[in-house]
This record gives sequence, structure tokens and C-alpha cells, in this order.
Amino acid sequence: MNLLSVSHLHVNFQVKQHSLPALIDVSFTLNRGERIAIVGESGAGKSVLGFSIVNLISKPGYIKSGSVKLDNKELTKMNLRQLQEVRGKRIAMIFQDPMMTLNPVLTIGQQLVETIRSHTKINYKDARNITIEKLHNVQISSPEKRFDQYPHELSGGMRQRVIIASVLLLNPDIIIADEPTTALDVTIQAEILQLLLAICRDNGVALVLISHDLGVVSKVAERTLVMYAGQIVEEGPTLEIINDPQHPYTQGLLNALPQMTLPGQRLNQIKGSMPSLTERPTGCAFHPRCPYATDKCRQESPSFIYSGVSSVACFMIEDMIDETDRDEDEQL
Amino acid sequence: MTTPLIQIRGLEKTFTTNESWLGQWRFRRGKFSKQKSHVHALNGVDLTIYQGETLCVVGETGCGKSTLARVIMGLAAPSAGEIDYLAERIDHLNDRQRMFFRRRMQMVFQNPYASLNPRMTVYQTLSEPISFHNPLFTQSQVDEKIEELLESVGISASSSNRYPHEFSGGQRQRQRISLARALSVEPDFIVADEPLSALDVSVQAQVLNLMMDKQEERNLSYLFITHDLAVVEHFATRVAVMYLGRICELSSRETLFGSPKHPYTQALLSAIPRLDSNTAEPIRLIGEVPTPTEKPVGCVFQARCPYANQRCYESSPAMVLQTDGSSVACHAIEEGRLWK
Amino acid sequence: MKHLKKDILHPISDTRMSHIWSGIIGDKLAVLALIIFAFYCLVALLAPLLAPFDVNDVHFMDLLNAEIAPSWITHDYRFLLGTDAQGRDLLSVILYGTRLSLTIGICAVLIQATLGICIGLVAGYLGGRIDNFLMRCADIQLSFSNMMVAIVFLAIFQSLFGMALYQQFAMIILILVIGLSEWPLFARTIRASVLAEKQQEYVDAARVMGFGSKRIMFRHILPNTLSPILVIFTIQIANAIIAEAALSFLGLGMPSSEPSLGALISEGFAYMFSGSWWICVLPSVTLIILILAMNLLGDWLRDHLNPKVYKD
Repeated sequence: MNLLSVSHLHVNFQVKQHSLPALIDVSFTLNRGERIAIVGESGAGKSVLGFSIVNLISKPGYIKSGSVKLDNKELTKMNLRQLQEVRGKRIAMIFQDPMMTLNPVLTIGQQLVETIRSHTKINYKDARNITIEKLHNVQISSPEKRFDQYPHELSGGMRQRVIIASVLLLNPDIIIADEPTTALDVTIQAEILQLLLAICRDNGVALVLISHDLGVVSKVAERTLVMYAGQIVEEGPTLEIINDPQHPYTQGLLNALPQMTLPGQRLNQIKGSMPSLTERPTGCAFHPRCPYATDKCRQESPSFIYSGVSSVACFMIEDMIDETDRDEDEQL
Repeated sequence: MTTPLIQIRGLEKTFTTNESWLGQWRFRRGKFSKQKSHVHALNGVDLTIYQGETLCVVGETGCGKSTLARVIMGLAAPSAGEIDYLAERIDHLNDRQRMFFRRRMQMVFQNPYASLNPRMTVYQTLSEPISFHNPLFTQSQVDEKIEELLESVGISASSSNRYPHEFSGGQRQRQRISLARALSVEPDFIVADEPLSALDVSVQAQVLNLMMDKQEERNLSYLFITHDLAVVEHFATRVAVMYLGRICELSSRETLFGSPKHPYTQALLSAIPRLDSNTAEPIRLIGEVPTPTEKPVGCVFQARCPYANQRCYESSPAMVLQTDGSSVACHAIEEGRLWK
Repeated sequence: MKHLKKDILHPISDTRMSHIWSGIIGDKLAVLALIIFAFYCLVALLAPLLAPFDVNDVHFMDLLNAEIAPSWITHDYRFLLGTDAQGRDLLSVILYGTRLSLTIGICAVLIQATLGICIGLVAGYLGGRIDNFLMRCADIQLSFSNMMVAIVFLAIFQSLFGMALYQQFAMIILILVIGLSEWPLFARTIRASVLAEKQQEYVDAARVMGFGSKRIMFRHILPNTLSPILVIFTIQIANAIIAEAALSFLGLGMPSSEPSLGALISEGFAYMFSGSWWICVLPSVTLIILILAMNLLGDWLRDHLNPKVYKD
């Protein structure tokens, strides 16, 4: 039984008269306590996916079709009240910029206590105790002191910890973390990632990590979804994807990392760049940048196929599998 | 390789935070007193950049690495210290006197969206510096030059009449145009302030390759400012690690990544999220980078250093040359405490 | 989400002019306002051709024809909109009045804008003491009521140099008085946007190139601050026309021999309740429609160019 299942989700953006697809036929599942990552470059639609899960997609964008089910309950058809119940209590979100969620004119304590009390009936003193305990859990030093401080008095890393604490207050089943460490320094990033990992493990919380950084993803996620131009192009166990990427885009992405080349050598670049929503190519969206593109890629879009390592949407892999099948048939 | 191009000695920069003249007055104990609060961004930086090399400056937010770039480029005046360009002192020059050095030193910026004027076409962006610095050029010479520049950074010359936002694949083309603009005056030294941090991985590789090509072609020297150690490991000739306005370790790339010495460098290196799963746990540092409102006494890293002792709180360590050619500013290493 | 919006909006948005143009076409109210404004401008330009009578003719003023009601009441088709107390054809006078009002309004705002832009750019870009000084000047200027300054100045001028000389230079003096009194509005807006633009890296890039301050201010920063200027410009024209009308109404504006819309209203006001309502009402309506169109246009521009600024 999957905790969360997204199937055939299409999200479009309405710009003037055009309806531009931002997510195309996205399907994936998330089990209880599982940690997955959504990887892609800017414009790949990974943030849109994160927002769509909790139906938080805002104006020019709208969910065109498809379903998002949490414990078999459809989220896309819920009204605002039901959704608010789900957001926060079942699914919590962490953003890149902590100030997006923190109110600058209220103290940390006021905001966190408010969060608990709006969802559960509890008196102030208990709420305060819980809050301080959670602040302690996220390794904030002297939580009693921090409780009465304002967000601007804290450093970036500290704010992100407060956000994680606030997310934990309601014991959610899923945390969606949208680039939680991008704005932080490496040393702080490492700490926050460790914290996030520890919290998910200890509390059995499922994590959806949205990131552009494959290094970060490899540290946290068990399973990885690679997105390109609004579609999932590869899905599989993180280690397998990093060690043996199947889709040409994933290969290119990994090969482009500086550590994949000897120092001083030219990096392996992918030519071109991600198409914007308005100029989506026909067929496989990656074909203009793909070194293996054929005529078929230019006309038809590939469907998902299991390659033995991961699920990939690519004709090349399809053909390879067909060939091996044929070979096996001949041998028999 | 061995000719020093830029020499920096004892560079300091202090920012005053209270700007308005009324705000500086405080009423305390029955007396008005004038008070300014300061941020010490650079606290004595010594650096030499050699011709043809890439010196990477690494550090976390607030360590003063961007200020270093701005002071070298003359965008901010240093509070103390000297900057020499080929043995000529340039830090005290006014705008007019600096003009010659503007042609020799250029800068590439971080944000591909903000570093190009949105109301100027690519042609205008490039033609302005060219005709400004070569007043004798005819129109056709300028055009020729622009065409050549655009081609050298991989943009077709036919798109020169477009505005920056009209390029598809935004960031990549913009950063190319930025580089073309910097190259338009034919400098031999380029300061690049986090030019890759706003870019996607696949685009990063393209821009980095382009920068390496140009270096080879024109024998450029780079001062490359970044927080991304993976890029440093690939691209640098030498690396300077900065913390709170001071350089705490300076060594060649191989030495730095092979055997980091300063406790801060070690922590920084251990924190890079690497793809291979068998790396050690990152070294945890206590606390976070403080804002330097007081001029630091002692070692800048003492507050977070696990090896700090009384001497570290009192006197600031000098850069000491190690046997493998790197220089490190750390009392603990000097005393051999670190290897116990 | 941040990246996404940028990606969606950028390829579609074009240069500023075409951006405004395509926006106007899509909004019916904006089209209407623009058409009205264009109509007024056209009428003002072509007033000598359109007016049925020559206002400079000696016979134009004929007391025998005084206070004839508009043609739809009297069926006297010589005077389409009737005549005023001095027997002038109201239509011709209104046409010339509009021409005067618009000229004064636009010229005054041009002075305001030139002063305001220069001061705002210098204050914002150079900063420090100069900024402090200039902005305090603006504060002082704003703490005087513009109307009061204008009244005092015009009254002093009239009593010092006499009515005759005043009437000769009335228009230029009005333009100067209205123009000089409202520059702080432009200066403040420009300064605010210059402060924002100064943070952008392209300004640093220009400085690194060695360009002088003047070049950076006018060639690099100014084009990026034009959107708010355009908005204030439209709204200020309306305000300047109103200011001129108010001054004329108080007898400090255009002389009755060369009446602007305000002067016409002022003159007609005396006859308002004696039955000849049209002398006052018709120029008022002309003025109100013009001001309304300008304000609509300005409001629309503000919404369109900067969706973040809420209406106040």
C-alpha cells in the first residue's frame, strides 16, 4: 500500500491564450518512510511537482488532469478545508528560503506555538514545552533563548533548523523539501542534510527531496527521479542511477560534474540548454541535445521501460532491450 | 607563470553600517556621543596572483571573498593596504588614472540576469566598451570586433541585435555575453565573482569550458571566487581559503585537496557532498560564521576551531610556509598540536 | 516557482513600447482613455483649423451676441455651443482653451520631469551628503503647499510688474510656477528606483569598464527607471492642468483675453445661476473628461508596468 501515489499528472500554465504544459504525465509512488529525490535543472518542473502534490499550484498554473492520492484519498478534488487539514498535518513543506515561511514580526516561539494550537487543542504551556523539545531535537543550542528571538536574529542555518522543527511539530507523514540547502554554505548544508536524514529515519517520515545537486541527493535519497522539461525521464535506486545512468540526459548531467573529469581537462558538456515552456520540441523533449537522437526520437515520445537498472523513457534503451531479447530468443 | 601580475599586501576593508549622520549620534548617560558600527570585511589579506594562473578563493558566505574582488577591481576603496598591478600601485588611483588598468583587468559577475543591462541589445552592450576604450576605431572596425567576440564565445553574430531576455536558454547565453563583454577590452586578468553559482550543472560545464578555452587562447589570469569546491578542484592552479576576512590557507590545488592542513580547510573539504558513498562523515564545526563587527583579536577561526588554545585567542597566526609548498596560518600547526 | 515565472514571461515580453501597446489593445477602458486623450491632443493641435471663428479677429467679441444658449436650445446654428458673456463663440473658445491648458500642462510637467530626473539620478547614484542635501530640499519644497507657493508668487509678480506685463507673459510664468513646484515627486520616485538599480550587477560592470558617472547615470540606469516615470508623467499632466485651472479660477491664471479652460470656468461661474449655465458647464465638462482620461491612462499604466504596486 503506497502512502502517496501520483499518477498521470498533467499541470499546465495559462499564459495569455496559450496553455503551456509544465508537467506531462508524471507518475510515481512513495512508500511510508521512504526517501526519494526529484532531480533536475531549473525549469525542469521539479518545484511545480512539489507544489502540485499538495495542490498548492497557484494562478497561471492549474492541474489539467491526473490524480494525487494520499492513503487512497484524492487530493486534487479536495476542498480548501480538507486540503488545509492535509497540508502541515500529513504533508509538510520546507522551502529554500526559510523567510518565506517565517513571519518576520513574530518570535520563533509565537509562530511555532501558533502552529500547534491551530491544529490541536492544547494549552499554551504544553505547546511551549513541545516546541522547546522539538527545537532541542533539531540541535538548536539553548532553545529556551531562541524561543523568544525573532527570525532575523538567527543565521540562515539556524532558521532552516527552526523550519524543520516547525514541520516536526505536527508529526507529518511526508516532508517535501524544496532545495532546502541551496542557500546555505557547504558546512551548514552538510549538517542540515544529516539532520533531515536522522529525523526521517527516527520518526519514519517519508521525504521528497527536490534538488539540482546530485551530490546532495546521493547522501539522502534511496530512490531518485530525474526530471527533464516537465517529464520524468529516469527513475530508480539512487546508487544505481549515479553509478550506471541509463538515460542520455542523466548520463550528461553526471558527466558534466567537475569531479567526473581529470583536473584541468575540458568538462563533458551537454550542448544547448533546457527548452522553455514555450519552445518544447516534439517527440522526446531531450532530442535536440541528445547525442544518440534518431528520427524516431524527433517524432514520437518514448514511454517508460525497465532497463534492468532503472526505469527509463528512452528509445535507445528500448531498442537495446529489444535486441537482447531477440538475441536470447535466437540462442534458445 | 612566475611573473607576479597582481600583488596584494595587507589589504583591509571596513564598512560603516550607520549611514545617516543623525543616526550616528547616541544619547547615553546624559551625553550625546558619536558612534559608528563597523563590519570588518577584510582583515589583512596578502595574495600574489601570477601570470597565466587561476587562483581560486574559497570561503563561506560573509568571509569577504566578494569584497576582495570588489576592492581589487576598484569598485570599493580599501581601508588599508596596497594593490600592485605589475609593480605599479593602483589602489589609490582615481577614475581617470585607473582607465589604463580598466582595460587590463575585467570582471565577470554572478547573476546572469542582473549583470546585463536589460535595456541594451547585445550589440550595444559590447560596442559601448569597445568604442569607449578605442576612440579611434571606425564603425566597421567596431562591428568586426563584435562579430569576432561573439563568435569566440559561441554566439552567432546574427543575434547581436537581440535583447538579453530574447535569448532562449537564458542563463547560458547571458553568461557568455558577460564573458564577451569582459573580453571586449582585451584584458589579461579577469576577476570572476561566483560566475557559476547561479547556473545549472549542464550549463556550468559549458561556461567553465569556455573560460578555460579563453585562458588558453589569451593567456588570461583568473581570480576565481567561489564556494563550490568541486569546481575549484577541477579548475584551480592555486587555492586560497578565506575565513572572516583573512586567508588561512594558500596552496596548490593538488596539495590542498591531497592534504588539507588548516582545521577549517579540513572541515570545508569533508563537507562537500560527493557522489561516491564511501566518504567519511563531515567534520562538524561548532556554531556558525560570526559577523565581524569587532576587529578580530587572535586567530579568526578560534570561535569554531576544535584545536583552539589560549594562544589562538590572543595573537593572530602568520602565514607559514610548509614543506610541501603550501602556506598555512595556524598556531596549532606551527606547534605541531594538530598531529597528536 | 521563481525560475518558472521568469521562463514563462521572458520570451513573450518584448521591448517596453510594444509591451505597453499590446497591453493597451487588450483593455477596453485603456483604449477608450487613449482615444480620448489622442482626440484632445488632435483638437488642441488643430484648433485654428477647427474653430468656426477666428479668435484673433476684432469682430470675434460682439456683445450683441452675448449669452446665446447652445444650438440645441435656440436652434441658432451660428453658435453650436452658444456664446459667452462677451459674445464669443463658446466652441471656438473651448477649443483654444483646451489647446492652452494642454500646452501649459505638458510643458510644466516637462520641466518637473527634467528637474526631477536630474536631481533624483544624482541623489540616488552619488548618495551620501549630496543625496541627503537634495532630498531635504525636496522635503522642504513638499512641505509648502504647491498652490500656496503659486498663489504667493503670482500675486507678488502681478503687483510688482503690473497686470499688463503679467498678461503678456502669463503662460510662461504659469508653466514655470507649476513646473518648478512639483519636481520632488519625480525626484523621489527616480531616486528610489535608482537605489534599486544601483545594486544590480550591470552597473558594477559599467563601472569596471571605466565609464564615467554621467554616462552610467543617463545611459545605463535611466532607461531602466523609465517605467515609473511614464506613470507619474501621465498623472502629473492631469494634476498640472488642474493646478492651472484652479489658479485661473482664482484669477491668477490666464487673462480673460486669452482664456484657458480654467479661466473660462471662472468667468462662466458668475453666470451660473443667472440662467446662462452653459458658459460654465461646457468648459467644465471638457476639463473633467480630459482629466478623467489622463488619470485612467496613468492608473492603467501603473497597473500594467508594475503589477506589484497596489492601488492606493
